[in-house]
Amino acid sequence: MSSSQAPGGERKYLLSPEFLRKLEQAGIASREIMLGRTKGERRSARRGSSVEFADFRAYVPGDDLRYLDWNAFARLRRVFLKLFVEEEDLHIYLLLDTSRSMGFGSPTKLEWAKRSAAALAYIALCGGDRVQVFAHSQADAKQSRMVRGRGAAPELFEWLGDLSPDGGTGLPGAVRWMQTMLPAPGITFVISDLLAPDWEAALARLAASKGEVCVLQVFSREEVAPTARGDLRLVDAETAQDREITMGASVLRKYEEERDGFLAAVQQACGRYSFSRLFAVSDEAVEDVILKSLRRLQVIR
Amino acid sequence: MTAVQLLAPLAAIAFVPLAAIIILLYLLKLRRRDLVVPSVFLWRRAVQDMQANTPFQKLRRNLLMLLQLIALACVIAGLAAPFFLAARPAGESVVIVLDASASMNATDAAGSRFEEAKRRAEEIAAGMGRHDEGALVVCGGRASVALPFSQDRRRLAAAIAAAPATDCLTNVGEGVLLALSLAGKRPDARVYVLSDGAFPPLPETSSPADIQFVRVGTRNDNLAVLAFEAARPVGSEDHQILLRVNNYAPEEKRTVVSIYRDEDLLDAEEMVFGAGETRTETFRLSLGEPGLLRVELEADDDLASDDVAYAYAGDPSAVSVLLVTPGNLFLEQALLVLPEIEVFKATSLAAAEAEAAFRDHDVVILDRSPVPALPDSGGVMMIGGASEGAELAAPVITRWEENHPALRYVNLGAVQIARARALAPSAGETVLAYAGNSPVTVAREAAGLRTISFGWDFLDSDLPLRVGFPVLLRNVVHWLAESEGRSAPMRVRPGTVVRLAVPPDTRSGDVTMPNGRRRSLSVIDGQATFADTHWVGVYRFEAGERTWQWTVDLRSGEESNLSPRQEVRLGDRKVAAGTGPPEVEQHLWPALVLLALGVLFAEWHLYHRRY
Repeated sequence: MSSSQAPGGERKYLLSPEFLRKLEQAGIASREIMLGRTKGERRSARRGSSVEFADFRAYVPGDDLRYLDWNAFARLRRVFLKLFVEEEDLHIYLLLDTSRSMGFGSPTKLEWAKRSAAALAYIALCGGDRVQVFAHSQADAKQSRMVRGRGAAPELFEWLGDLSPDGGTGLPGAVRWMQTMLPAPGITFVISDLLAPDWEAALARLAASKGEVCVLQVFSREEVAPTARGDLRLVDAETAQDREITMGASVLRKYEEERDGFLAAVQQACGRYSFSRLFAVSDEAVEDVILKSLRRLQVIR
Repeated sequence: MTAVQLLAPLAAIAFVPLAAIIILLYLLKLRRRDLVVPSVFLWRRAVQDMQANTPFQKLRRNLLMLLQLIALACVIAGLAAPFFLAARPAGESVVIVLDASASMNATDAAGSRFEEAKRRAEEIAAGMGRHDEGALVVCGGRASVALPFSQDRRRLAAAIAAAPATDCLTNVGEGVLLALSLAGKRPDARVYVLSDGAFPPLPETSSPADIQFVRVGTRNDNLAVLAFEAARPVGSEDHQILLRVNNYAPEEKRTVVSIYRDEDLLDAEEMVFGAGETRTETFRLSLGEPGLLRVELEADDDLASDDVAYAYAGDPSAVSVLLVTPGNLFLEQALLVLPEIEVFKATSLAAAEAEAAFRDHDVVILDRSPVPALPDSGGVMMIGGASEGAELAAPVITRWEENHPALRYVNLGAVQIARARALAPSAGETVLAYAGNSPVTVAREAAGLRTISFGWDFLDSDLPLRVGFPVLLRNVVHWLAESEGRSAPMRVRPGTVVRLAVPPDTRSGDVTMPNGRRRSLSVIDGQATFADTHWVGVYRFEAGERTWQWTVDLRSGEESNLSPRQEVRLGDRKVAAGTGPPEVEQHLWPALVLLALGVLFAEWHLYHRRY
């Protein structure tokens, strides 16, 4: 899909104007009470991209003990919390899986992922949060600039639009790669189909770092309900492994069992790690997902 | 039923490429369609499961292919139009006419022609449908219905198997008429004539029944005796034997001709007969005693029963006749003419001289002379001496025994008789001639004694003026003279009914047939009747102390000519020889098409069962 950039800020190709308007009303919700912030309030942030110790704050019960300044406690025998510059800004990270498996479906899963990512990014930008998008596959890994403000939306949208599926999945590697570049913890949205044997390792790695995670798992319609029949040789788009199969009633049953088990396992893992998780099919409207489902999950205000 | 044949065998060639295509398709199908999927990650278990089932999958695939090949084979086989020929008589009513004549005993077919005909008949019977009925007419000595119409094929087969062969002359014409009358008005009636065709044209028939001629016999390889006679010419001491032999074979035949008297070999000579040659030979034999002569041809030919013939060589010594008559020129002259008779004359015979007379002479003729006491043995002819009995004025002889040896060749019915006396036959006498209801000639044949009485004076009739008079005298004299066991046996053709005049005190006797079997025969009114003269040979009838003999031989050119006829004629209609009931093609392709459809249905069902 080619981008059509109209001067004046109208971005049609990924998201419709009505949708954009609705998105302006929304905001990314954070389950954790970020230090120093109260609901609905945003401090004007000091710009900077490095993690910088800025100030102390007296400890009140309920604060995150991770940010205790032990040196100050040792010297002053008083409990203080470190304050960092960036934590006043909410960092929204979007990790898109651009492996070849995302190129399936109609519309493709990647298409859906792009639109969902665009919507989430727009919400964040409209809310004054910082957004950075990462696109990863074993063939190519790129990230966008960390941007802020609604004016950055076109640049982000164009960047998203240029993504195309290629290469293997490698989710753990993607997470590791992304985490090395994160300036500060934030909320990470992972948009992928998770169709790789090492999906659980990727989630575990995500859980190991700070911040919230929301997993948007997207399947194509064909993966939900395969329609192919007959004697087939299934070829893995990414690994080129092939399996011979004769599509029949019992074979389909087995696939459905496997699929349901997999989705349930993902759900369970996300629950264990306290991730929010959403399952969608690529032919479902992005609006419904973003506005309704994510709201229900309290990922979005 | 013949073996299965193909009308279009070339169609079968199409099977190979088509089957190859099917097999190829199945082989190609094994190359699965490639489908690129995002990940085979979720298909693992399904694949594992499938791999466990692979042998079954292979089997199912092979089963489908096999079923398709079978269906293809059925269709191709149907296209090749197989059929077999099944003999269907194609008639609801079938009459089988079996020729059991002498020529059917020829051995140019397996067993004999008759055996072959019986086999063909059994084939016809076997090909009958369940609701068809069949009948069997056997033409042996007489044509008879061996089995009337019956739907029981087993009975028909049994009747065919039990039909006996004979040496009789052919009377298929009678058999066909019998068959046609049996068929009557039945629709779809068919008459099968199983014969070699050696019979004269059959009479025209208006019956609607279809007549088929099934011919048996292939060749005419036969040597036959057509004539065999023995006679003693006038004034000769030796007998002259006449023999006529015909060689029907297309090549020359070498044979040894042997002449026997009873069991003694009298003469044997090797002769060569050219192809198709008829030769008459004469022999001269001096026979000490009379006896039954038999000629035998030792030839390797197809028919054995015409290689034998019989003839009787009579007593060469003269018959001594005493004529007792007041005067009868005709009688005297006629007797003198007969060569083998020695005539003695006397005007009267006194009772005292009678005994000597009977002893010295073979035959005593009493012409208008009183009859003395009859002797125990000898021959006596009495003419016109009856004193009792009704007087008949101008009688006309209406019935007489033409076959009696004494009356042969004489037309008594034409004799004009002025007056006669009716004779009263006593016990033991048989009536030889009737004038109206009155017996005018009687004869007696007792042990050793033969008498014959005429109820009118020959001079009261024009009998002496007739041509047959000397013949009558000769026959009578010879018959009377042959009374003492010097009986010339009758020589008859096969199938002739033999009637024997036996003494009245005999109730029954035994007949010995040529094959050695014995049969008892009962005597009715002084006559024994034997009808089963079906085979060539010497027959003997023993009753009390007396023995009668008769011989049966063929001497028939018609039967000995074995060449199978190509057609038979019914009036103007010609029926060509066939080999049996028409063989109808029974096609198999409908059954094959049904089978193919069934197999295809099974294959379709099996294929869809999994989905």
